[in-house]
Amino acid sequence: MKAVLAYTAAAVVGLGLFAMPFLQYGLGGGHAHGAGPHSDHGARHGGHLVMLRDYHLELVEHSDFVELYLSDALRRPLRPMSCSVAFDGGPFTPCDWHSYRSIVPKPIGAQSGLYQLSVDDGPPVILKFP
Amino acid sequence: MSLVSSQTPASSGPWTIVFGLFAAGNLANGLWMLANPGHWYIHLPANVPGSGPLNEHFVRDIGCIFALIGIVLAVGAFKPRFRLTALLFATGFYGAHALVHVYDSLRGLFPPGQWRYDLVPVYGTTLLLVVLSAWLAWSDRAGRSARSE
Repeated sequence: MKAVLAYTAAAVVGLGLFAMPFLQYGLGGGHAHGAGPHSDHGARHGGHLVMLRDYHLELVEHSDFVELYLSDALRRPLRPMSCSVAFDGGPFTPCDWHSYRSIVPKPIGAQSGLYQLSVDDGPPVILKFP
Repeated sequence: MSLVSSQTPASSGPWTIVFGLFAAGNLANGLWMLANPGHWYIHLPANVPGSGPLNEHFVRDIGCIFALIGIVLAVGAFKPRFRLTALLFATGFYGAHALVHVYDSLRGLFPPGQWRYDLVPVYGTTLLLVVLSAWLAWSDRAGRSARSE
């Protein structure tokens, strides 16, 4: 009986410790800088943040490429269903979307750009820059 | 968990379960961070993005320490003489991490309600590790005394 209790206690403690590494970064809203939706409109990647519908888009322009970050009202990263970009009124080409951002090369001398993203079942999200 | 014994500590038993599960959690988290930092950043059931943008290199750096702790604990699971050292190593890391949370909460990096979120997962579990380390140290000492008599 004592051994059964010892092994049960060990399993309970062990399972708690198994979960421990995954719980070091806050649960639920923990670590959030804002208290609720749309309470955080800060650019986090050194770019310009705009709000389109219920989404936050942060655009970071470099000399030879452009980064785009998409997040929801709580600033949780999102991946669009589709994404395309056009420079200087040219044809749209698909964006290369990584796990949390899009990086597209910027044509030499490009002055403006236009992103088109399908994020939900509604109309596409259009972002013009600069 | 009866751990005070006049015998040499067993390489299997309740402590093996505790160390084995703790090792598995650390290894799983560490390997996830090393293998796919972006996936870990988005899919960990916590609001990691709320604390700042992703830096893949830093996530991998932290993944190294989780994986290392997992390896040390796994050794401790089956090699009783390494258990106390392994547990103190893990407790040191988690204790230091808990102090960073205290510091960041006090200086206002985290919102006021952060204490509530950290109470059990960060501070409570670290306290559990301290208690387990003290228990293991005490039982090791008692076991050595009994063997020397």
